[in-house]
Amino acid sequence: MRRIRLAAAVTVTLLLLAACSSGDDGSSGGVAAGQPVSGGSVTWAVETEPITFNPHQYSQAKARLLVWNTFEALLTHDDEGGYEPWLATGYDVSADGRTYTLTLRTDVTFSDGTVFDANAVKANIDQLRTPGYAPTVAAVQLKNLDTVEVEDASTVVLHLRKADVLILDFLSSPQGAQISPTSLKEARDLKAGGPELAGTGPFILDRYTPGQEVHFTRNPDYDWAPANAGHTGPAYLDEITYRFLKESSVRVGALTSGQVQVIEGVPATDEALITADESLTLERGLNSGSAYSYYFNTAHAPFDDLRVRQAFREALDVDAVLTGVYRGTAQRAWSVIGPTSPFYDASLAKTYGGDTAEANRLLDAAGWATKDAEGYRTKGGERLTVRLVQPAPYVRDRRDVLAQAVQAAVKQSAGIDLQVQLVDQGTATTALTDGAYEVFDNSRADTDAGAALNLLLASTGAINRTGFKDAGLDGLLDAGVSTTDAAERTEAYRELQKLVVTDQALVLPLYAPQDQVAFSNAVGGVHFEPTAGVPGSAYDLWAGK
Amino acid sequence: MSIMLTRPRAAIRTLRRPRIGVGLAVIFLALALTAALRPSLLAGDPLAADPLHVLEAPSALHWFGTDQLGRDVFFRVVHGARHSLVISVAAIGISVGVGILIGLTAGLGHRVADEALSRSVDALSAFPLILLALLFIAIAGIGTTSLIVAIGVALVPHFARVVRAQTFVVRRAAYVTHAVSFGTSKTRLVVRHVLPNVLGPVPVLAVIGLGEAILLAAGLSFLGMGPQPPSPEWGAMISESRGYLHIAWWASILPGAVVTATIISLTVTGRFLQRRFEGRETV
Amino acid sequence: MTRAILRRVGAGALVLWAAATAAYLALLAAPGDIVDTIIGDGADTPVIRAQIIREWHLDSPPVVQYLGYLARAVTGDLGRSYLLQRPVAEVIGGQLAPTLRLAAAAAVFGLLLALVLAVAARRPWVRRLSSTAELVVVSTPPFLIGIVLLSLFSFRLGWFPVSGDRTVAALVLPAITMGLPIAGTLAQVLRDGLDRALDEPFAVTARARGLRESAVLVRHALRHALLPAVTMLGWSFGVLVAGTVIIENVYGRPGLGQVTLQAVSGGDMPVVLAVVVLSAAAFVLINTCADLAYLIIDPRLRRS
Repeated sequence: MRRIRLAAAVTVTLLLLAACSSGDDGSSGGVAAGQPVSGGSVTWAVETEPITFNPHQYSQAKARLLVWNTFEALLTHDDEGGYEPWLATGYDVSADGRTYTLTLRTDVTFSDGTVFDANAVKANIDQLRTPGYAPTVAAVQLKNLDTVEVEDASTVVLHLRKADVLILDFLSSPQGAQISPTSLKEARDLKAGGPELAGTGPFILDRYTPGQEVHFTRNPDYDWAPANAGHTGPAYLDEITYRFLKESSVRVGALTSGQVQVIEGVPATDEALITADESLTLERGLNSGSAYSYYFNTAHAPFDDLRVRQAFREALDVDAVLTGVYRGTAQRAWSVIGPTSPFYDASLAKTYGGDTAEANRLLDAAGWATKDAEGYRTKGGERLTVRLVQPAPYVRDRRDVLAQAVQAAVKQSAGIDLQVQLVDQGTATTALTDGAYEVFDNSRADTDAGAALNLLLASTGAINRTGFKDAGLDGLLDAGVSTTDAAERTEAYRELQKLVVTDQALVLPLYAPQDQVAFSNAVGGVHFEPTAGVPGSAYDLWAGK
Repeated sequence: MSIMLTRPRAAIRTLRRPRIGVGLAVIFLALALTAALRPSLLAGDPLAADPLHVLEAPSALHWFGTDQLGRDVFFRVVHGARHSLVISVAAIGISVGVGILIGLTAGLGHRVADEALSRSVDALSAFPLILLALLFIAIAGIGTTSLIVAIGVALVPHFARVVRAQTFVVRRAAYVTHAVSFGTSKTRLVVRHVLPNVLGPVPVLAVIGLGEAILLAAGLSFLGMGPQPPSPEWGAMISESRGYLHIAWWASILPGAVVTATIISLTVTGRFLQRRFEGRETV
Repeated sequence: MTRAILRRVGAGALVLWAAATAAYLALLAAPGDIVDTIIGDGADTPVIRAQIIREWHLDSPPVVQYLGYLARAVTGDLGRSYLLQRPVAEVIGGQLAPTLRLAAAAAVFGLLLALVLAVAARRPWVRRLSSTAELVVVSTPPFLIGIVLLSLFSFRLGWFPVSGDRTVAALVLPAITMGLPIAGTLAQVLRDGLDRALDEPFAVTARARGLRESAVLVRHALRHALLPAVTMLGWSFGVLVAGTVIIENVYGRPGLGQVTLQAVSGGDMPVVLAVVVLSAAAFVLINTCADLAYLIIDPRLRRS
């Protein structure tokens, strides 16, 4: 069985795991004294309440740690971006890269008693391709998938229309997680998920209180942990509760006062509170995927003009606003691809940005030469206004505060009126569909950055908010997925980054998203997911006495 | 806060020597008014951010410290006075206008009209103020205008009731019965004789009502229903900075203290005026 | 007596009808298509649109629409939230308990504190101190009191849970925050009532009988002073409802306030309308009860 391995080692992830502030050795697992014990419970405060518990509908990187408690994918990752078996025992790729044969474990059952087999895999993919169910997955991740063939109970064959290495990324992603076919048929609210959906994971979601918490109990029959897990057999904890505490100060307060044992999302301003406490540990992981960036909408004025896009980038001193909001804990991004990705083009660093004089020169040249009473630039009586619409369920890491910092900075340096609207998801969707925005903000924690780029930059990309449609760009995206050769992929993505970052100034990369987890030393087994760099599931978590 | 129409005697006794308190309140209100009308006299740019000086404690340079974006909190509080003033004055304007109209109509009109209007006012006050305001915002959308109209409508009952009660007193008064016997026209009667005499308690109520409007506006803005960032609205400032309370108390507590001081000043001044103009006590 | 009771109940029903009608008119007055208003930010499909038209009788004449709405309101059918895809009664019912717990705790705390303040205020310096404190409390935005208490007693000292409604301890800070303004105003009313009662002939007689001042206060005057406080019930209810919206937000508690807030920001009109009408109903119920209590306590009122 031939295993595809990404040549470039993603060791950065490991290095960053070690960058924890409390100075432990950085190996995954906390510093809690002693050996893992079975039993007990842990309460974990998280920033984001998932908008859905159905993994097929997954779209919030912050919800990923919850997905893997209940559901599992066919493949998982090792520390270096390679693929490891999970519910599949292995896979085989045909020479033309168009046929993937997966062999499956035969000892797995869903928590509702349904047997996991090739038919279950097919049922999941069929469901994903049902019109209106998961349009993004169907149109992007599965765009090259032709047919799914059940060879026997433990073998399933995926036939592709053309070579697409990202199919493996899909098979290891939350969207590719396996839901019990019984649930798929019978759940009353399939899209929302919840206790109705059975998975194969080490925990069972048994209670969800909207706005408050979600509770999981151990799946006692679980005995198929992947090799990258810390142990085998059932999970250590009897139960785990995740409480949704949106306010970072409330999360930190809950941890320091002992009301929860683990929190994720620790703002830089609060790190001192954690590190000052001997009984607490803080760890950080840098996410894979795309950097947190502002995407400019080129479909209409003013960002249809390259000079205005360049001016916006020059008007902003990214380092200064990052320092103000993140106190030096955020790593600046220079490309749309995150710095932990093997495809990241490090030569882009310091090639643009932060030149106020240049910003003003560009805006003058673009015709935004006059200023109104409030100091904003105008052209033909119209103010240079650009709108950033932030949907509240996706706001993390105080990105709303960062937006306000950017807003103040571009006003001061270049007279640009950035209007920031923090709205509910429905309003945001409407604004984005109607094109009532000029700036779109996003980061994606896909394990393969190519998956993120396909969504964000392809002409047909589900979240292509730049309105930039270019055959050359699409060609590069195709080139990036049509070969398994790492060097060829890297070259395609290097050209792509040059096109969107340097030549077209489509994006303003801001920072490399990271996750912070802080926990009481009475808890062990806290870790980050290999390659993805996001907090891992509760499978290895244990509570000391 | 509710408008106390009856003067608790205890309050009178304690407030018999209120000159210092009233003096301070008036000075504070004068400052607040200056801030609202000519903020540039007192403070610089409330939107100027300095990312390299965020969450700095109060100092000679930044009297109230800086917030999470490095903006001067004092400047923002001063400029925020305009939001509060505009919202509360406009809202009270609506309440007074509509309140007088309803009160007069109910007080002078037919019994059926009176009953209907009084019951409507009762129904209106049956909605807790904030719910009424939220209902209005849900329909008209978030924004300063919605906030003003919502608070304005919510406070109508206070004025309608008082004007109605006063009208009942005035219509039986000698000068009105005389005017009627002289055959004065109805419009003239209302405008010349009734209106001036029923308005007596309204200005004082309006002063106290301003405090209530400011409190309500701050509450709704705190919930994100008012002026949007980066507007230096007081409630919104407190809400935005509350996540930093444990490391930078000044960014939320000081604006809060100013809100409280403003409302106390309005209440103290209002009560003082109430005593003066109701003439029940010489101060 | 019966006539007086009927009159009060009738007036209550009238207010309730006016409130329901006003809420309905508000829905009609909203800009744009009424179906869009009802959907809010929920999923917009032809099936759902048809369902809304059926449910709200939008294909019938306006009078039928209105009567249908009233009929449903009377039978307790609060409609359906198209944002949450659930019946409104279920949405509200599920969140009622934590809100009632909070409101009850706040009311009890407010009343007790007011009693203590009013009785203690017999001494001049206590009176000055407490009336100043009352002024500050009723003039301070409740959310400010909330975040200060939260950061002091939960974050700093760790005495109380920071969020949620999992334990009785989680009720303490929110109830205090909500009860303080009630105590501030009630204390004024009670103290005023005590002042008046202590000047009444019965108090003088009691003193003449040799009763100690404290006995006069507790056994006689307090009872009289409590009467005007009963009229404050309706007002307190308003404070409590307003309080839940803000306090639940500050303390991250589940409840009606959070439901209302989410409904308002998500444009979920069926939920907003239901909350408004229900609150009006509760208000009417409480005020009618207070009126009836008055009738029973004070026979002079029965004749009117």
